[in-house]
Amino acid sequence: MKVNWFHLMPYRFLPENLETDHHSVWVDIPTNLYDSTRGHHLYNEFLDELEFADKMGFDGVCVNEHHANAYGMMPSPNLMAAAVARRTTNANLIVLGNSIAMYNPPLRVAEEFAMLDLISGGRLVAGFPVGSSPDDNFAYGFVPATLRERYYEAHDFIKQAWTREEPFVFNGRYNKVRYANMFIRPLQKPHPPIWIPGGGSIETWDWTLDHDYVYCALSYLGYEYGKRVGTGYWNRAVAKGMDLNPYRFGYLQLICVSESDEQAEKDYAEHLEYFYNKCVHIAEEFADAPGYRTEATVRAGLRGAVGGNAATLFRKGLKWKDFVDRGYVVAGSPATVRDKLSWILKDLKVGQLMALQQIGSMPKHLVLKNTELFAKEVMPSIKKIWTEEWEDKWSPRPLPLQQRAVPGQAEAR
Amino acid sequence: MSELKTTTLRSGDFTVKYYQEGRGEPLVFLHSAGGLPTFTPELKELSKRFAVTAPLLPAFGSTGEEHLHEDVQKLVFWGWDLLDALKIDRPILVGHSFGGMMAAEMAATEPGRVKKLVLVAPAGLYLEAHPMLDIFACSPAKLVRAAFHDPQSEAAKAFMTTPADPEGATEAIVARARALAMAGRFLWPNGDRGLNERLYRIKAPTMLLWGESDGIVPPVHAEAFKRLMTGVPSVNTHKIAEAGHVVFAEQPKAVLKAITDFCAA
Repeated sequence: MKVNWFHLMPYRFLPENLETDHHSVWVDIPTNLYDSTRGHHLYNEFLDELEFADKMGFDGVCVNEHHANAYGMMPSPNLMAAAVARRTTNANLIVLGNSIAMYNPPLRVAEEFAMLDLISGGRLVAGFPVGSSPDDNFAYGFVPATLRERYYEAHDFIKQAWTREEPFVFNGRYNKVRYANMFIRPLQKPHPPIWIPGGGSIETWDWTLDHDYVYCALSYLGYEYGKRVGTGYWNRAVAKGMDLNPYRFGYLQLICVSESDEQAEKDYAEHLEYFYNKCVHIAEEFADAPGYRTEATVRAGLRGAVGGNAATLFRKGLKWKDFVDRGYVVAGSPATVRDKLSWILKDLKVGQLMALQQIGSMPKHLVLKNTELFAKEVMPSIKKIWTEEWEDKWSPRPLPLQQRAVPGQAEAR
Repeated sequence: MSELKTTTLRSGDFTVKYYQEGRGEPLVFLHSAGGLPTFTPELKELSKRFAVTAPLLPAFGSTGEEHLHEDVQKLVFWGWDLLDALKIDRPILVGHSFGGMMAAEMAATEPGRVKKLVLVAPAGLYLEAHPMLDIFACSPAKLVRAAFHDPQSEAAKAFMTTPADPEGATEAIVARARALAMAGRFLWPNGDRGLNERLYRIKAPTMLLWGESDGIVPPVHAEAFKRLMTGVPSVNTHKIAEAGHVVFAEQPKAVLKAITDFCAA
């Protein structure tokens, strides 16, 4: 099992009345709720936390992209990954990801990912999400019905840019470049591993498997949602006659560890409630623009991780006990978390865990406590899962340490 | 009951279903993003005076919308290709809402091929002070309030009703998403695809018909259309009282009279 530490970078100072008096945390949230001085400190706090996860021995740190979003303040995850790259040595930089459909030309993503791979000595995972409706359609103005074909085209363009040896003409429908030429080459050959964060579209499962990429189920609904998506995904793998290597499948889980189950509630309940009441206060109208999901997915009744039912569920004013009982969060003493988590990961056949341990308004000292307890008391046994039976073919292959540049003492020869 | 007819365009990329009824001058009707579930009583009435052709747009019963991508020119060619295939020359072109935008685009592309143009609450312009409603981020209740002059009317209630059986309900959801997805190819995100820079090319005598209580495309858009249609000597603006965006449903008689008077003039 690979254990990775995921940061959403939420604004920790949303007002009491956000969910009652404001329409949505995403897309049309009033900008006067944001304080830039706090923003300065928050970014640095969050970067400290990512660096701490590296020191604690996590396999990777994960960042992602959102726009006009108070619970996900990374319009450019690449900037965060660049900042982390220089102050960490071991952790993989898992950028989950860049909404490639929106970048014209997508060559820019190919270049920035190559830069990250080079700076970090080959620790990059390149994440290519199709994109979310709130981000791509509403906040960035892209037509829902054509987003997916833009995505496929951008993916093909980036792959070519990474792998073709000569300058080439790219003549797509949405992107035309006469001299496509990536002089800088990614360190990992033929290119960094590609992971696809998904919200449960049937087509994306097939496409991910056909390309032999990792599929990542990212939701805030824990096991229940993971089971639905995981079952759909593995069924497709079976149908295609592919091996069921768990390292093909990533899964995000909210995790809260404390000295005891009771102490976990005392430490984290307030921040969980903040997360489910405020951070996921997403207006339903923005969750799923018409045309964003394919007809097959709509027909199958599958809604996104932030869409429809999910959004309504979040608004019911649930409490700590509900979050734990429903499995949204795996929480408690190290022993409790160890037992529950290893059961979930085995049941879902997860090989790439994304642990979300900074949640909602959680302040730094609790984030560090949560992370450290997990790393020391839970992670060692979790990491052993699958190592006997399966090989991880989808993680970065960095340069050996002794061949890598050391920040402050770097000199090319 | 009028029967749907079928034809194909562009080597089969598009299958087009259309209604065709009546005798007289050719009149082509392009429906709104609400679709055209039947040959409506209003079209029936028009077919007493005109040879009415009412195609179902791609995704609204016809297929092939994926070949349109998000390209207005492809939508315009779809329209003219269809009229060529049906051998319809110099029609009176009537379009409602999204269909109004399409009719205006067709008339701007082939100004000599439209005898008269009737735009009923057409989409297609972005006015900063009076933007079109974001129909893509609307609850059904909000949409009804904006679309109808009287949201309590039977017509409004019928609009809100979904089939009771689960299968029918699913199909209704799929059909609605598909229709709005198609409209979104040309109206996302704010309705502006450059029609304002093409309206000057229109030559056909034009009537702008608007419900006074239109909450989807504000009636003030009529003034902007008129101002931009510099190639039409006199644009006739006709506002209809006690009607919202769904003018045909709310004031069918007034709409029919306005259209027939304008075409007879």
